[in-house]
Amino acid sequence: MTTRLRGIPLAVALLALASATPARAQVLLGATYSWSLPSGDLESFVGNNSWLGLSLEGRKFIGTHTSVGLSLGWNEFYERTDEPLSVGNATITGDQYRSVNAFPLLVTGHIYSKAGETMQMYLGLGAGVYYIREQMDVGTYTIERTNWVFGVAPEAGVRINSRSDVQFALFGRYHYPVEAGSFLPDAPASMQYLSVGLMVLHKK
Amino acid sequence: MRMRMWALGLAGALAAGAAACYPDRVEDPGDYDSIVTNFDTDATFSDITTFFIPDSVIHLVPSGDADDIDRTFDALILTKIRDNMIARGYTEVLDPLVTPPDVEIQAVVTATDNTGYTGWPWCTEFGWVYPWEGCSGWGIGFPSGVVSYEYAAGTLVMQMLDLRDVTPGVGDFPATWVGSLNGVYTGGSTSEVQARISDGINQAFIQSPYIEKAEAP
Repeated sequence: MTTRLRGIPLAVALLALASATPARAQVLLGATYSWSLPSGDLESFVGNNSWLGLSLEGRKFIGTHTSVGLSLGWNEFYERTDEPLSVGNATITGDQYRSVNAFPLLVTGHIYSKAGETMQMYLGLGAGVYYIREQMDVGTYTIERTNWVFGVAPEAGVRINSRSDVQFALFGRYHYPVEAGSFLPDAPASMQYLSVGLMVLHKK
Repeated sequence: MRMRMWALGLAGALAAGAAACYPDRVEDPGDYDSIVTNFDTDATFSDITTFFIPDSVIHLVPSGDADDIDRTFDALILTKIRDNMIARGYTEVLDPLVTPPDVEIQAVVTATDNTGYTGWPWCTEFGWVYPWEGCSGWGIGFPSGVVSYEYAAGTLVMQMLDLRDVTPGVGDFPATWVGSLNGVYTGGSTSEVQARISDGINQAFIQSPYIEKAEAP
C-alpha cells in the first residue's frame, strides 16, 4: 500500500479559509448520484462505464460567488473479461471479475456565476486523497491491491436555485488521481474517470 | 422533520450503494474457467534436457473419501503434457530408474473444494510419485506469488519438479512451474471436457514461453 498525502497542505489552507467566513454564511449539504466513464489506466483495467457513484457534499459560502467545502465519494467500476493478465511471475487467462472501488476524499472550492439567477453556472476544483481498491477474481484466486493516492478533481456544473430549501445541480467532475501506488499488474497507475450526475442540496 | 427525511433518503441511497458493491460477481468458483500459470523466477528452464511424466494422473482425494474422479481423461492429459514438452525441445525419459531426468511433471486432479493444496501431505499420501525415494519427509516447495492454497473440485494442476539439485531425504522438491486449469472437469459432455483439457493444457504452455530448451550452439 502506498500513501501519497501531498494534498494535505492545500486541504489545511482551504479549511482555514472556510473557518474564517462570516457566521451566517450560507451552507449547502447534499448528496450526488453519478454515472462515470473510466479513462487512463482505469479504462485499461475495467473498460465498462458505471452507474454506481454516490457522494456526500458540503459547501459553505465565503462570499457571494465562492464556496469551500468537502466531498466524500464512492465510485465502483466492474466487468467480467477473459483478457490475459500477468501479475508478478504468474499469468492468468480465463473468465475474471475485475472491480475498482474509488473513494475520493476532497476539499473543494467553487466559483459561481451571478447570484440571484435561477440557474447559476459554477466551476470548481477538488483536491485530496483517493483510496482505491482494485480486485480481480479468477478461479479460486482473489488478487487485491489497495492504494492511497493524491488527486485533483476539476468540476463544472449548473446550480438550479429555487425558493425552497432544496436545490438541484447538474455537474461533471473529472477525477484525476496522480500516477502512483502499486496497481495490477504491479505498477503505478492513474485511475482516472469522468463523473456526470445529479446533486441534491439542502440549503441551511 | 425535513432534516430527518433528508437523512433517511441519504441512508437509503448509501444502503443501495453498499448492496450493489459487488454486482455481477460470481461466488461459485466453478463458474470461472481459468488457466493460471506461475513459475519460480530463480529457475532456469533453458538448460533442462530431459523430463519424466508418471504414467498416472494423481487424484487428490482426502483421506477416507472414495476416489470417484473419472479416469477417462488421464491418457489425454498425459499425452498433451508430453506433446507440449517435446515441442519445446525436451526429451522424455521413459524409465527414470535407468536415466534420472532433470524434471518430473506431475498431473494432479483435485476431488474437492478447499483442498489445502500447497500443504497437502505429498510425501505420505503419494510417496510413489517419486520412484527413487520413499517417504523420507520430503515435501514440495511451491513458487511464491500466485499459487492458490485452494482449488475448486475438478481442477487439473500440472507441477514441474526440478530434480537436478535435490538430495533424496533432504529438503523439499522445488516446483519450478505450476499450471492449473480451474474446474476443467466440471460440467459439459465428455467431448466438451476433452476439448477444454486439450485447449487448456496448450494455453498453459502458450502463456509460459519461458519453458523452452535452449538451442544447441
